[in-house]
Amino acid sequence: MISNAIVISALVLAGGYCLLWLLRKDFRQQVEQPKYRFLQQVNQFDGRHEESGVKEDKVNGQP
Amino acid sequence: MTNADASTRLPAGNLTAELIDTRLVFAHGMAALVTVLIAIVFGILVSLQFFMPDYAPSWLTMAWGRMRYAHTQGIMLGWLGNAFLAFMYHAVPVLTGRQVTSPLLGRWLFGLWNFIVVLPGWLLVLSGISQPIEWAEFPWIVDAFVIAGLLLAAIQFLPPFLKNGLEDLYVSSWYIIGGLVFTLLAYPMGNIIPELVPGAESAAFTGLWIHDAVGLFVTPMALSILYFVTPATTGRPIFSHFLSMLGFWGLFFFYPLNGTHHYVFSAIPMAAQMGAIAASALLGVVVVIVVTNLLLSMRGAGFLPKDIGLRFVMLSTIFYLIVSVQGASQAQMGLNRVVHFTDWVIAHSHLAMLGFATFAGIGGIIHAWQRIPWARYNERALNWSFWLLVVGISIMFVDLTMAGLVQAEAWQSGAPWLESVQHSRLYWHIRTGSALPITLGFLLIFYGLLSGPQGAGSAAVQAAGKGSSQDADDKAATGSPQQAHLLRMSYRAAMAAGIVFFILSVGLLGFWPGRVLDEQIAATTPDNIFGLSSSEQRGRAIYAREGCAYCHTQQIRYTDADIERFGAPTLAWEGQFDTPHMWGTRRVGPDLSRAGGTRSADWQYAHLFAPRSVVPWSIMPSYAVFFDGAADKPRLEARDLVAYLESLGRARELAWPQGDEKIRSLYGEDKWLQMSLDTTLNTHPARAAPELEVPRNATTGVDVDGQYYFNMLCAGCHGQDGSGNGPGSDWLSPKPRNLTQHDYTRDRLESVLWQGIDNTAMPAWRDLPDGVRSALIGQVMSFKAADPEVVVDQQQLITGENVYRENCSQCHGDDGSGVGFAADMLPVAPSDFRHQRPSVGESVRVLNNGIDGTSMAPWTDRLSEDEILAVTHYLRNFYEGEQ
Repeated sequence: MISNAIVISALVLAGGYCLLWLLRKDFRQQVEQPKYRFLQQVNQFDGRHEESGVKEDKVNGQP
Repeated sequence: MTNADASTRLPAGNLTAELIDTRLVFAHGMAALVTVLIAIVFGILVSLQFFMPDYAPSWLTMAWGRMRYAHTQGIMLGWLGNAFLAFMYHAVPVLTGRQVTSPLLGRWLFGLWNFIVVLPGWLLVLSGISQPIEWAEFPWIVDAFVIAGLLLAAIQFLPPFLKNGLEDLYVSSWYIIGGLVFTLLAYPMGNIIPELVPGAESAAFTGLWIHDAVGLFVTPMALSILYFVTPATTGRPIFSHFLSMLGFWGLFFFYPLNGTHHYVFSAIPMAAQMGAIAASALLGVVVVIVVTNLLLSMRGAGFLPKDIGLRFVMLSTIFYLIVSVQGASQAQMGLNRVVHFTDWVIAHSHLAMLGFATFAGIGGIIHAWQRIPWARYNERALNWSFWLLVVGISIMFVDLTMAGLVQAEAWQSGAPWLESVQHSRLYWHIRTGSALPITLGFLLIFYGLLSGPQGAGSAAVQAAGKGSSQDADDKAATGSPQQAHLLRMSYRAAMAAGIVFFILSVGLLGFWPGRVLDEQIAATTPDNIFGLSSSEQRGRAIYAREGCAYCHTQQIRYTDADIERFGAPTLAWEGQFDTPHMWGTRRVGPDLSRAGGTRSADWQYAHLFAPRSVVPWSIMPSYAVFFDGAADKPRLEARDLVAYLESLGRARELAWPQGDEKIRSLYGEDKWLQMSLDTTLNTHPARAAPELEVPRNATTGVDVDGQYYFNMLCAGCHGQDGSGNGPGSDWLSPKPRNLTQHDYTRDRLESVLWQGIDNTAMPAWRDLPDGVRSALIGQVMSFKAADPEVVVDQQQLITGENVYRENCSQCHGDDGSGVGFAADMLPVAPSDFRHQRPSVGESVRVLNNGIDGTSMAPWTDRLSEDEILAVTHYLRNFYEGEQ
């Protein structure tokens, strides 16, 4: 009984999520947004980090 | 927050590096490496005892169990805990565009985690203050500080995420949030509840925690690193954020539901076991999705990425796939029946913690390190460390998997337990050998992060190169408030479902089985069962403290192999005095559920004092520290421990048959419980049972080497030559029989091997295959030297008969059968001269000296030398020889 409950509820949840993804293009686009934004943030960080380089680390006061 | 806001979340006017407290990244990174090296030393010392059990000095701080506790807790809390904290100090500001809550809080958290949790935890378990719960060995006082540390970590890292919208959270953020929140829920459940409930109920919660520690703490943190480092290094977004979220929720749904798969075929309700098995299979499916997504995200990075952090991350991903498929398979009943308790499980846990999680942790630390402007960085050393760790962990995993399969085969075949130990020795040597490249690998990481020029990490990042981020810039600008709302709602639904699934896991696999077990125990516990005496309770505490449960299980499973070897499966009510339970998850030595009465106390003392004196091939560590210099001088600890061992299985034995009948009447339909009620199985197969009918063994054992098995099983007491002078013989009373001085009929030897000899150190060997017992019989019969020809006159026989009838027949019987009218009152049964014939010399020796530990006294004060010689010749006539 427990195993049936686990399998069925998991399938319903995963199935619903997949269905939403299949049927709603805007959902598909939206759900993928964070990966692009994350990359922007990383690039922003790395870019600025490279600019500042080893010259200074103001927060930590390290050379 | 709109997408436009999100894309400019990082403060434009400040250096982004200012968001990251690089000193805390550095501090936790260093602490991680120091603790992992210490934990590895514990691991090496533990592994050495598998083939050099006597190397350790005789002080308890170095005892196997204590170092085992220190090893696993050091890896989980010291190494991985610090590695993940180091990574989060880098990742959270990048993921959120905000600083963590407080640099001051960070210093407190660092101090708490290392100097109030890890260091005191080690000192406490090494000094014997611990709890015998797998992955929860630090005592409750340390648990309180772990929970405080997790709370501080939540305060430190969660607020920056909560300030952003759910729909903006990248998958790494989800894993960090999920890991912190669920560990905070699972840790008290797994570390405290098992201390409060007994036996099978306790085991149900332990099972949950074993998996939650990996699934809700280690895995989320490791996956947050994999999802972070991969795109951050390649410069390309992950393949599918949709799949990553499907994987995230799938993992959080299924991981908590897996725990009971550690106790398949146990007394825990079968419905809970089946639930865990189903969840394990589904978890395997989810992991395939996660790994596929990660590997597709690495496309273009090459088979061997130039960036060392990414290289570690790639291997971590592959290890994750292997370990998860292995775990999901092992949970299935067909495989579990065979490989559970073997080194396969140890291979699995090492690949999880030292392969998947460790490689992720190293990848995360290196990635963050490369971006600390003032940190040194030695790429060459790190490159070498990668290869050393790959080689070391691969050898360890393959080696232990093979060892597990060999052990499984030996256990299923019914071969003597020690055969599986003997066959494992080579693999245990290799396992320790694999620690060499692993240790060197970690030392080189240490060196690589502390040597080389400052800022060389940045140069390495630039040299590794990145893909274009133009694509990301273009696509990140799309989206609408309506879409964000839809996604936000779906995530909220998933969050609610995640919490519900966790509660379900604790409810369905923890509390519900506990309630069922409570009812079953209340209904089936026989009347007036014995609890533990004070001495037995103290012995139990020693057993727990020294980690005995980590090699000796106390759960006989509902499998044929277990039943044949150890006796009837464990019923739920049998563990009601065990808080926490001592079920164990690994068998290096045999199960001890019904060990009480299988060996005499003197044998137990000899075994604790010098294990190889009575079991030559044993790898059990010596506990000579519990004695005053000799096995026959036990101190209180040894007496208590032996008292506890003697109590194991006693309640079930004393309750039989009424106890079992009660269960049969209440649960007659339960096919699993029925397996436990076969009356012939209610004693351990090593337990002496003179009342049992002896099956006559038709097997000749021609193909089995009798001397080999004699050396393995008998030589400790009887000596390799059968002379009764084995290394343990001096501590046994009565001393082992000198087999070279007796003729035995095959019937007699079959009886002794099947029934044992009550109140002596001679156990029964009913668990041996017929062929092995037969070979042992042949070997024992071969020891007897030919008797010299002796001429006996008739008068001597008449005198002997008179002496015998007057002095010996009360015990040995008129016909020499050993069943005189007084025989039943004697602790050790008198010899049956019809089936065993001592040599003249042996009989004279016995009559002159008696037999210590039996009722056979010296007769020199009552019989003359002539009478002794006469009765010696007379009793030899009883011998029937081979019929």
